[in-house]
Amino acid sequence: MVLEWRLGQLHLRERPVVGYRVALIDDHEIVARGFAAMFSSIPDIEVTASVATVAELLDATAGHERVDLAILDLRLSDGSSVYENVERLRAADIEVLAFTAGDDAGAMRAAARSGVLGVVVKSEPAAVLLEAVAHAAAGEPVASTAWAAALDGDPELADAGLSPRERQVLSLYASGAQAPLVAEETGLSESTVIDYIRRVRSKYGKVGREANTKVDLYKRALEDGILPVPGQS
Amino acid sequence: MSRETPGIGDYPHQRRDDEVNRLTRLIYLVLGVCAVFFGAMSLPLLLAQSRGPDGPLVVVCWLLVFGLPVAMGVLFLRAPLRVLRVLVTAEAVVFVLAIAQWLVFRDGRLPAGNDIPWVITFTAIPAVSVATVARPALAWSYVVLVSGLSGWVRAWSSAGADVRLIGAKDALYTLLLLSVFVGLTIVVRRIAARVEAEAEADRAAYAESAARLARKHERLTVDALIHDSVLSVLLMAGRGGIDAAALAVSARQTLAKINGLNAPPPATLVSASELEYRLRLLTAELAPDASFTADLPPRLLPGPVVDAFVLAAGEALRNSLRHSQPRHPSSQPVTRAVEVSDEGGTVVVRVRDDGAGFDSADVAADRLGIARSIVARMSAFVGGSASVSSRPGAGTEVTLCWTADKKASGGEKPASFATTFSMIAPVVRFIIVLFIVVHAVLAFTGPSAQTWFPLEFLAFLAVSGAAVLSTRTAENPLPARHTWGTVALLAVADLLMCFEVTPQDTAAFAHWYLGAITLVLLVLAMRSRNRVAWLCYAGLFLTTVSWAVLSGLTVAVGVGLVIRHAGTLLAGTLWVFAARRSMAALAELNRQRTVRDAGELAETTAIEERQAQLARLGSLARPALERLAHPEPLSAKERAECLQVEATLRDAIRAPSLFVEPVIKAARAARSRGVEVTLLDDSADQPPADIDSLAATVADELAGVDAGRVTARVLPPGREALATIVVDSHERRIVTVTADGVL
Repeated sequence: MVLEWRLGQLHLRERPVVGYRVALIDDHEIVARGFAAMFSSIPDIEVTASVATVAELLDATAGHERVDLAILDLRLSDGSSVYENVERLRAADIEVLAFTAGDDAGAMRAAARSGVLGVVVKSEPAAVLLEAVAHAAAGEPVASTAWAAALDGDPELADAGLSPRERQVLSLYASGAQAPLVAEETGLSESTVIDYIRRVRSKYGKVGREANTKVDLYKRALEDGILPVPGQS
Repeated sequence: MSRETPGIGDYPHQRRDDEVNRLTRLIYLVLGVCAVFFGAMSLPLLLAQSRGPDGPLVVVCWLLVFGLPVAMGVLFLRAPLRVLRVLVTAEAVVFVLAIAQWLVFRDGRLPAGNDIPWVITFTAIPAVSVATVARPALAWSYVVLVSGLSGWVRAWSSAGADVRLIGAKDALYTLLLLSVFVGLTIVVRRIAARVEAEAEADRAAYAESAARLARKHERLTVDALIHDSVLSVLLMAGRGGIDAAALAVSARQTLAKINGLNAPPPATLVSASELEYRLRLLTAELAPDASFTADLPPRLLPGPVVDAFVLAAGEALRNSLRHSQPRHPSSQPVTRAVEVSDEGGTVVVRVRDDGAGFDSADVAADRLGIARSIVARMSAFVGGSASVSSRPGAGTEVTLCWTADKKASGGEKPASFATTFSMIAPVVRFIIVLFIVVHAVLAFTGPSAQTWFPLEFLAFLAVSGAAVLSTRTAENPLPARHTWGTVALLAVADLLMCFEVTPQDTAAFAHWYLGAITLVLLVLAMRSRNRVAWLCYAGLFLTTVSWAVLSGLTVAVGVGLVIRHAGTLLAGTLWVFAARRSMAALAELNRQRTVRDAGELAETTAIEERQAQLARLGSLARPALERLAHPEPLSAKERAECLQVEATLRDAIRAPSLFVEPVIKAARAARSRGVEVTLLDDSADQPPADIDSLAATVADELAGVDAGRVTARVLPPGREALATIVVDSHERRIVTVTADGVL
């Protein structure tokens, strides 16, 4: 079984890419259904699975199905954490694009720290969503306003050690500017701006991987030390 | 007689006073115990000195001067504090009168060696009594008065040669002794008050943070629901392409989730009728003959408070059944009543009988225990209290009260000895200087003053050194090397003086070193070195008695020299014990109350927050969700409305500080023109102060755009600008909003 899985992976990497295989992970049936229909309309993209949990996807694809990109809802009702979900997908060689219904900055930071390609708000216009998915399927990072604002507003952003330029570009993205306007404001070329965003993403993700354990400990401390207080009467 | 417990009154001041009063009551007990000791010690003097025409008057004075503090000690827990205060005032006056009596009726000197009038052998008791209730200035004035009077009486009756010097020495020594006890009393009263004040402030801060956490937690719960369900349903409905039946299923599920949240969290608040019902049941079960009346308006009560009421009422009822039998079997049977009512917002439960009743002065221990446990049960809640009042033959009434009060709350760190010490440092310094000056006067003046060098001088240095060493550091217990250094210096002083004076020496203050050593031992006892202090006292006792015997005197003479000082040490030890115990109790009480208050406040806040969230969710999303719950295809207009509601809800979550008019209307209008509006608020818990002008700016920008995107973002705190607005339409621009205006 293990051998078979490894062979499958090997096989998967060597196979010439003809199209991107995308999986949807969302526990709202109507959302999954709606998006599956929408993304299948992109050329070169095939929505191969629509599941409610990460485990379900990994079970379904283990050994025989190649998945290039998982579109992951940040809040799944199975009690799993963002870290956990992204980690497991990436361990299975699946890139992740996070989707979120609202804008929970904390969950978005968690996703960014875990190394997702981007975070996109589901309510973005269809064109924006399609472009994001097309980019992510090709392994390109996706810089959305929501993602940039979550990072830019992170009280612990200093840990990422961004250069002043990188911070400036991030802040502009966070304020809602897109690449052309950012380029205009900074006097850089658009491709340089995108390079900066790439670096921000990688630096932030790196800090995240180092800090994950620390953050988990902190969260547990919060749960253990502070949250029980309201219950003690 | 009624046993006082915190009443309904004006909590929290009522409760705070009660904490300080606990300490006051303990001091009364210590005063009583000391009065018994010193009264017994002064008995031989009284017997010797009460002969004469004014004998009966002397005995009356003695009885009053010692009887009043003994009465305080006996009543320390039972009597209302104002009664104890009256006793203190009486003691203060009677003591001065007793001295006056001596000065008026006695004109002779007393025989040498026995020339100390009984009336000045326990000056500390009236002085500490006054310090327990009076303002510091008055207490210190009384100390000076008593010291002066003591010196006067001593000079008046002294058998010595230079009576003025003897009087002055007595006044000084009395001043030193009283300063120690009165200084401590005043300082500890101040500490108790300060601990309370700090606890109050801490409690408020602690409860507030607990409430904030609870609010956040609640918001997250509701927000999660909005994220997950409401937004998804509205979004997919607005986008189209999903069949109406599937949408209807999702919409119904979502509505059910919202309704589920409407139910109050389990086991938090219960209806007042629940209390009524359970009390009725309890009464019927325990005392079917008892009458039960209830008059409670509909309201909610915390579940644990209802539990406490029922348990405490049960105990009160059982207590009544066990003890209220009339003394004569022929008397009328006992009638009992349980009443529950609302008195101006306070829930009051009364358990009453007309049985034997009891006098709290001779109450059996188990009944006392029951009364205490009832009180403790009710006092375990903020705003809860209980009182038991009873008179022999007139029945017993137990009153249980609870008032909702969310103002007081917080956390408390017990006052460490070091902080205490730093607070009393000025007093300690004053007393050390006084100690050295007084003993220099006692040692180096008077008839034997020529011979003081070198032995008495060295002894003086050793005792002074011990006094300084024992108070040098704030570390508690006193570190071993300080302790043993102090003990060694005291031993040296004792030994040196054995060669300097004789036990037969009748000159006033010839044996000053015994008092000096005892005072230093008192300091050791205060520094948590009780055992060392008492062992040293035992050593002092044995050396003094042996010294007397070796000098050819009886054991009794030796004991007579040193036993008086045991009283001082005993008083000090008891005093420190009382103060410590009271402070520890205070700290523990505050800690418990903190946790409890925070819990209650958090509970209320959580419920309020949940209701506010639900109200918003209900008014915004419910109509759209209810429409979706009908499986009929949506019109284009209805789809657009779904997207509008979805966007508005998202704004409310992600940009709470911008979720105000005119932004809400302007965003809606812009979206209906096809503009993509994104509102973000990263100001966390510190929204900009002038939100109105920022909102106006955002609304203006939104109004001026008819295509493309507009993103308004409130920046994280600490940035130069407050907010940015990016317009990406026919033209592209970035508007930066600062505290001073728009850039």
